[in-house]
Amino acid sequence: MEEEEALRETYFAELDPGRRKELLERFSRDHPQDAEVPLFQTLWSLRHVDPKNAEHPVDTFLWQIVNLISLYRVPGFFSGGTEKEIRAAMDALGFSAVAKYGDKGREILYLELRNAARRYFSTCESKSYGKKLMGIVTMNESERRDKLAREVWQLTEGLSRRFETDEDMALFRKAVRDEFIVQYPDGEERLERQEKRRTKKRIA
Amino acid sequence: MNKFKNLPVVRAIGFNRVVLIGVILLMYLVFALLTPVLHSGATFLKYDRILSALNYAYFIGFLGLGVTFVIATGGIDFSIGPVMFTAALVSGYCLTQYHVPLWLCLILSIVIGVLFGIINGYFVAYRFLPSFITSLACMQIAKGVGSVFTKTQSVTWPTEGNENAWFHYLVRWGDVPVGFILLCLVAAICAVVLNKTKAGRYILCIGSNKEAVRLSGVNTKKWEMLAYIICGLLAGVAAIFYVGAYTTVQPGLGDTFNNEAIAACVMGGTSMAGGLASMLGTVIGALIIALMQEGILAMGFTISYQYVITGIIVLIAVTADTLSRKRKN
Repeated sequence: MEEEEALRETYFAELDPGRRKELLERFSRDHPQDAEVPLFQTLWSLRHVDPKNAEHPVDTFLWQIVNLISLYRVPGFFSGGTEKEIRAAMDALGFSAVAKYGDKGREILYLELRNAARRYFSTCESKSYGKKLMGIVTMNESERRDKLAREVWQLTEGLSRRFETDEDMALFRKAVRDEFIVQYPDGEERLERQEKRRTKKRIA
Repeated sequence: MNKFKNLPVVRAIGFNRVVLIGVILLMYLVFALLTPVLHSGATFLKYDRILSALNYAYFIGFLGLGVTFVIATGGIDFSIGPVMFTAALVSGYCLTQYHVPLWLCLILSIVIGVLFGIINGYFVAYRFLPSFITSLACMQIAKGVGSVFTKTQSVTWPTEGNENAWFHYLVRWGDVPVGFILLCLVAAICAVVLNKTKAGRYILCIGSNKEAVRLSGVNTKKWEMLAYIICGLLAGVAAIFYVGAYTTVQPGLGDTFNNEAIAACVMGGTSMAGGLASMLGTVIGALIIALMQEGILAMGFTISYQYVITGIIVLIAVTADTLSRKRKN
C-alpha cells in the first residue's frame, strides 16, 4: 500500500511525459486491480495522445492553460462565444471524461491539473518567457514572478469574473491557485496584490 | 468615468482606442486653429488635406498591420519600410522598362514582400537569430536589391490619366478615399485572423509563452514564420498603395517608415513584449501619424520636424507600454 502511494505521488510530481508514461505502465502492471488505473489511463490519453498522430508528443492540458490565458485577453469586440470556448477548454481538460468516476474522478483530475499547472510554471523559467521589448531586454526574477502571478490571477479569477464561468472552472481554478501557492512561497501575497490592484481600478 | 468605460461601444472598441480617437479629433482641432496662425493664408479645414493625410495613412497602416503580427509573437521587423520600397522599385522597373503587364507587377510586388518575409521568418524561427538583427540585415539587403535592380535610378509608375494607371483607383476614385475602405477591410480581416483563428491564437500564445506552446505540441517555428510572412505580404501591399499615392520611388530609402509603422502599432495598444495586439489600434495609430505629418507640413514646417516628433512618439509609446505592463504586474 505504501509503495502504491509512493508511486502515485511520484507520478503526479513528475513533469516529463515520457517518465510519467513509464510510471503509469509500472503502476498498471503492479496494480492491475486498482480501480484508479483506468482513470489514470483515460487522463493520460486525453492529455498526451494526439488523435491525429499517435507519434506526435502533445500536452493538451498545458495548451489549454496557455489558451485560457489568451482567452482572457480577447478584445471586447471578439469576446462573443468565449464562454463556449472556455467550456470546450474545460472539456478538453478532462471534466467530461472523469464525470462518470464521481468524486474519485474529480480528485484525480485535480492532481492532474496541478501537475499541468506545475509544468506551465516550469516553462516560465525559460529564456523566451522573460523577454520583453522585442526580445532585446530580459525580465529580472521579480518581474517574471509578477508576470506569472498576473497570469495565475487571470486564470483563477479574471476569466471566471469576465465571462461568468465560476462553476464550470471551480476545480481548475483551485488546482492552479493551490499549485502556485505551493510552488512560490510569496504566491499568495502576489495574488492578493493583483486582486487589490483590480479592486482599486474598479472602485476608481 | 467608470460609467463611460462600461458603455457597450466603449467596451467593444476598448477604452484606449476610444482615447486615441479623441486624440485624432483633438489634433485636427489644434491643426485647424494653428495652421492659419503659423502659416498665413493656409487652412487645414479642407477635404484635400484629409485625403492627403489618408494617402500617408494607407501604406503606414498596411505596414503597421503586418508588423503587428510580428510584434504579437514577441519579435520585431525593422525591414518593412525598405522591403516596401524594394517591392515598389523592382515591380515598377519591370513595368516601365520591361513592359510587364500591370496586374503581374502588382502581384510581383506582393511576392517580393512575401520573399523577404520568408527570409526573416526562416532565420528567426528556424535558425533562432534575434529578430532585430535578422530584420536589420534584411533591411540592408532590401535596400541593396532595390538599388542594384534599378541601377540606382528612381522609378516613376504611370501617373493618373495614363495607360496602365488603374492602380491609382485603389487609393482614390475621384474624391472617394477607396484606400481607406480597403485599409479598414484588410484591418478587419487581420483582426479576425488574429482573434478568431487557430493561426492567430498560436501567434498570440507564442508571444505570451513560447516554451509552453512548444511543449504543448504546437509547431511554434511554423506559426512564428507565418507571422513574418504575413508582415512581408502586407509590406508588398503597402508598396502598391505607396505608388498609388505618390507614384515615384527612390532606391535606398524606406527605413524612416519602420519607426512610423512600429509607433502606430505600439500606440494602438500592441505590447512590445508580445502576446497582446490590436489591429484597430494600429489603424488608429497610423491615422494619428498621418494627420501629424499633414499638420506639420500645413503649418509650414519641414518634414525633418516630423522625424523628430515620430521619434518622440516612439519613445513615449514604448515607455507607456513598459510602464503599463509594470503597473499591470
